[in-house]
Amino acid sequence: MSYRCLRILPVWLALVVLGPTVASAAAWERTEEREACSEHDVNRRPFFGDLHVHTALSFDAAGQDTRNRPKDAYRFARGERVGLQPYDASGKALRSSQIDRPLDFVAVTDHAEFLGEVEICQTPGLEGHDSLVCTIFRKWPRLGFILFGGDVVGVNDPKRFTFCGEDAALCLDAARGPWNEIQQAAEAAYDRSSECSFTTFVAYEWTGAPNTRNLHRNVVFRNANVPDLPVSFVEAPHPSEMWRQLDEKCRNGVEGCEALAIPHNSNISGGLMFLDHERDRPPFGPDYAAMRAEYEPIVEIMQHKGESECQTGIGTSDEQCGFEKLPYDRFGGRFDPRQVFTPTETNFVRTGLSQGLALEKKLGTNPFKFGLIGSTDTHLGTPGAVAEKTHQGHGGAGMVRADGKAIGLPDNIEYNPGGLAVLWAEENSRDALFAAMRRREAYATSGPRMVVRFFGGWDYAPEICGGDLPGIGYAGGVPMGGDLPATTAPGGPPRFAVQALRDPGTEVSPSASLERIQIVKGWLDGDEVKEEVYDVAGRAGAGGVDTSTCELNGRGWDQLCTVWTDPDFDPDAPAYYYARVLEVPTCRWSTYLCNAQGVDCDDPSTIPNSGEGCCDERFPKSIQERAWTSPIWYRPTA
Amino acid sequence: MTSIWLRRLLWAVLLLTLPVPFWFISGGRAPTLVLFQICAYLLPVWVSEGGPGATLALQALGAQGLAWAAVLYVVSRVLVRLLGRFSEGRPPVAGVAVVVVALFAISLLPVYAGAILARGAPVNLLHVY
Repeated sequence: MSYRCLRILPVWLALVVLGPTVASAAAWERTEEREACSEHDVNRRPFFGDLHVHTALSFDAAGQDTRNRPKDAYRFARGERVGLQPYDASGKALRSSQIDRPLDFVAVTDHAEFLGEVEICQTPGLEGHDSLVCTIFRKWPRLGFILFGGDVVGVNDPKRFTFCGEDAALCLDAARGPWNEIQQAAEAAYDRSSECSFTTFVAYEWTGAPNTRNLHRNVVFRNANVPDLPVSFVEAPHPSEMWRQLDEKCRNGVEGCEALAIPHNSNISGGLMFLDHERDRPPFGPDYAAMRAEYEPIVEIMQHKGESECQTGIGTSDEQCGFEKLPYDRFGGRFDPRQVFTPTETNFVRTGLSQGLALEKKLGTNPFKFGLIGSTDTHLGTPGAVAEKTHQGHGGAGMVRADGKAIGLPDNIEYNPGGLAVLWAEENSRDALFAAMRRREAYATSGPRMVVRFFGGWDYAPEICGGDLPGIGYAGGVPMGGDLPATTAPGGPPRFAVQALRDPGTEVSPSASLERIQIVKGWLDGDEVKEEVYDVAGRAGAGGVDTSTCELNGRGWDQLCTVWTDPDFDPDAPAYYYARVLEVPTCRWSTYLCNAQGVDCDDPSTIPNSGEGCCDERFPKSIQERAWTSPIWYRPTA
Repeated sequence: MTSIWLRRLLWAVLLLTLPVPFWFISGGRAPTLVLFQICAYLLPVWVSEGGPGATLALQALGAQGLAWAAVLYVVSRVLVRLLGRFSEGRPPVAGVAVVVVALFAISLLPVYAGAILARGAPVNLLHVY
């Protein structure tokens, strides 16, 4: 028997004995009444979804004349066509949208802060409807957006408008209608049959942005047991206050209620998202760290308003950190040139992961132990509309002709179509998907539906790429989101099995092949945080794109798989590892549109109204779509 | 009608109809009076609610409105003086009338645009105020 066979023998033995039960060992309890799913895979499947979706119930979406409501967003996610603004005088939508591949799950996450205010402003007869603020909201919706966003959720000490009455009773009472609508739409669209074709979550967005620095979180409930009203930034102006109130009003207030929060847009948090303290508060203590780790097991790394992994030149030299970057560090920079600042390291997810190692050393708990997802943050009620080639914007109507066709670009040039959340779960049900989020067995994509497996262990053999990767992966180690188990060979370097399958694509949205897989490692060297990026499969430059025609040249891979051993492993250094899968370069959404409109940047007469972004050299003409897995952590004490 | 009243009339029509460029959130074109109209709504909101959003909007739109009002005042003076050269010393009633009619005619075209004014396609004067 060869040495290699001896090495993998324990894994095979474990597989034989434990194989069928390993993946389900961390099983979840069913907390709702529903039929059992006819398809249940102990080795788990990737389910594609969108956990960040706004509809007409959100103040900013309403201000952009979005008329799709939660039920429409769910219809859209299942493949139905929906109308988009602008609408003509008869209420007919001049644009429409449809995705060619339905999603598996969706959470509508309308802003909690103004559910009641929008209801009052849009419903004649309600007290407060004729207030000046509501009049402005109806007459000049974009100005209303600035008032709502700038004066209530964009400040340090939020307070509701005076038209909400004493103790905001009018607005809170009016919020019950939309909150019920959100719940009812989620219930109506949820497939409780054994087919398990589509899952919805009751959810909302906590929209705190002190001084326009986004600390936004999406709060997702496990099942239909939810509080009477969402906990918003106005009632809970710090994340920790929100968790405490969720404890009180959900966990302890409603039987069977469980929630988690998903931070997003750290890229425009003004550096607040991954500090070691909350705004105007002392550094975290162990209680805070434990609560954050419990409530926030995943972070949204990619969405319509940019990508948040890292930025080249800001604490890293990683050349792949220039993807979909915004030219400002806080949301206020979008509207006010005086608020345009260069991002800092704590704007980015990778810094959070690294700081988490340092904080765990200090506090005993890692507050930033999170997995990764993507989503769209659509404000048109179009979850999963992520195709670059057919992007119609996510943030409003843009400039359009009378026939509804775009003049120039239908969205701000710095934005993008957003990404998707992928959850590895046994079945497509709320409990199974929620458990996947809890254990961070999740990954993000920038839109394409590539399938990525990532396992960490000590004994994986290269042959598992050609064999039962999930079976051996689960039996011999942990999937993405997990902690490396105690080593069987003390001091030996860990091994990581990573596999990526390209998005098969569709006729409407053909996919690109894979260029390479990278593993990003961060570790603590004493008290210093370090990082390294390793190319582990494929190669850079395998393909390219002609941005004048968007034709691809060269060719990457349909699938990549490897077992990688950390060459620089220090058994005394806490570390995290995550995989990043890159596609070959393809055209950015703006390039497709600018080419279609015949824009020639050397000839100003060809640049259409609202198409100036076509020639903004700060934004590339091509991109490399990608996926990011949740990390696997190594702790010396493990 | 005296030249002074013609100047005032022309200034008023320019304020009411001429699409001037402005910037708030994003660029747009609107009559100067619309900028003042928005400020008139915002001022009491700013007094009662406070907040950086109302402050920013008031500052930006108010400053641009005042600047355009001053520019259009100068334009109306120069225009009336120029037209006066063709009316042999009499107030240029006919010339100003032509300009006013032209401005109103143009205002019926979709020449006003901007995220604040219109949600989508450019609009005409009837949909601005």
